[in-house]
Amino acid sequence: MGTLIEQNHPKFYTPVGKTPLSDPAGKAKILMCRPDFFDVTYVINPWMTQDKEGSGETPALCDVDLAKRQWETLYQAITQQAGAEVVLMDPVQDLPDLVFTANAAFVYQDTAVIAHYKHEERQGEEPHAEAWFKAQGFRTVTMPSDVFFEGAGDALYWNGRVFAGYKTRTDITSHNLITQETGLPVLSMELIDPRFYHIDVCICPLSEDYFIYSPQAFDAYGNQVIEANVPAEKRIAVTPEEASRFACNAVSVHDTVIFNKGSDRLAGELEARGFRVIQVDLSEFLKSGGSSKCLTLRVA
Amino acid sequence: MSANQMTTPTDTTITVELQGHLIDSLTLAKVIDLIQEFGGDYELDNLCIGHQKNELSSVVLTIHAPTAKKLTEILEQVRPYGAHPFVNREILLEACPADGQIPERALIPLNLPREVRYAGRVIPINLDSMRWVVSFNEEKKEAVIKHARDVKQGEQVVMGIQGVQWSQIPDEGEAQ
Repeated sequence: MGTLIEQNHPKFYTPVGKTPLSDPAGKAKILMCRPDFFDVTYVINPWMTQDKEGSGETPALCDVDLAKRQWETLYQAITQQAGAEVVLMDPVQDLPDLVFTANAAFVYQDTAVIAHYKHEERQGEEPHAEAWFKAQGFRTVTMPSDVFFEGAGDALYWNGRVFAGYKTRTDITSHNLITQETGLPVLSMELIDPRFYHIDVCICPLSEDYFIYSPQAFDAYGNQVIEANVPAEKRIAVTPEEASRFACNAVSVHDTVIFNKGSDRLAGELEARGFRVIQVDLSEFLKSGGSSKCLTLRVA
Repeated sequence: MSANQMTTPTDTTITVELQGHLIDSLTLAKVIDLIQEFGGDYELDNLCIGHQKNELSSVVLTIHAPTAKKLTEILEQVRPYGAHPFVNREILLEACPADGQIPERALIPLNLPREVRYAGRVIPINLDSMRWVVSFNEEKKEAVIKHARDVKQGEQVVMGIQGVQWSQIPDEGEAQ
């Protein structure tokens, strides 16, 4: 835990007018989904296979009971330690990845741009997400049927603009709809490594405009875009090893940053900047290609 | 060269268009580099850069390749960046639901003049919250930019950017 700041220090609140959410200084509200039906049952990314050297078609073996305990630990960290409110979406049988709520939509103020998944295995999640957001009073926007977009997995608000990933899962043309529906400028970032198939496993915006990122996940153009938009003193690069442990896939609530265990160097660097870091073991979710950020979606 | 003067498509030439965040994201630079890396060349036919960071840019490019196979390769390379064959499409119209009300996705042109210089000073133009639309009279075949508050119920306005040009198109006689 960092010792340089007081908890809930105002400096960690994003100024009004720069936030994607309606009440930045209020209690953060995060959408999660209990992992009642979570398992690794298909292979749609390189993390999901147990046969990484072979055909890659056999799903990884997942301890679903351990996954439930790990999810509960994350839930407790977010609600008890970070002080956020968690709202829950009902889990649905045969939709094991519904637990990764980050992918459900990109949320900006009262607008939710609903995901349209590239893989058929996840397309069944779309109506559940849309129904949830409608029931909560959001204005929902859907993509044309031929345009793929994977929610906040591929669209991250940072300091008045959106860093949005494309090519692996999301189509670049979806970024135009984000701008048209929210008025936000988008920086379209090509994802070049299939292991880092969403931008939320390569970048994590933090409070006070800090920015964790994995330079290896982007080509020279992408790194140039980051360097042109994020001041050097705000950029915190992770090592390839930390990126592989999903260090960029972090939950950020005011001064608290929560990520998968095993990135002590990064934790120290963040603590030196005044953040409080909580590391939790999310090994079973990594087998599905997700970690703490993937399991959450900030909705207010 | 304007958009309706495109090179006639051949098996080694094609005109494509891209729209999006092409400049700040370096997408246009990437596409041009890829065309050249794969042995092609290009002509920039039309470029419209969004004035504000939240305005989309659009570009029309004619790609030339030494062989049909090379052209296919180049097209496969540039497609993920949003490049697709250019089609001279026409505008979409929708009627205003009531006086002073415009359809939800009506085109609100943003590439308007922003300021004027007067007596050594730069004076911003009051664009009144940018609520301008393109009204189209099908009978007169006349397009007019007007403020959203001035539209009448049933008046046709342009939806989205399809079929909209930001550079002046020469008439058919001039184009030939």
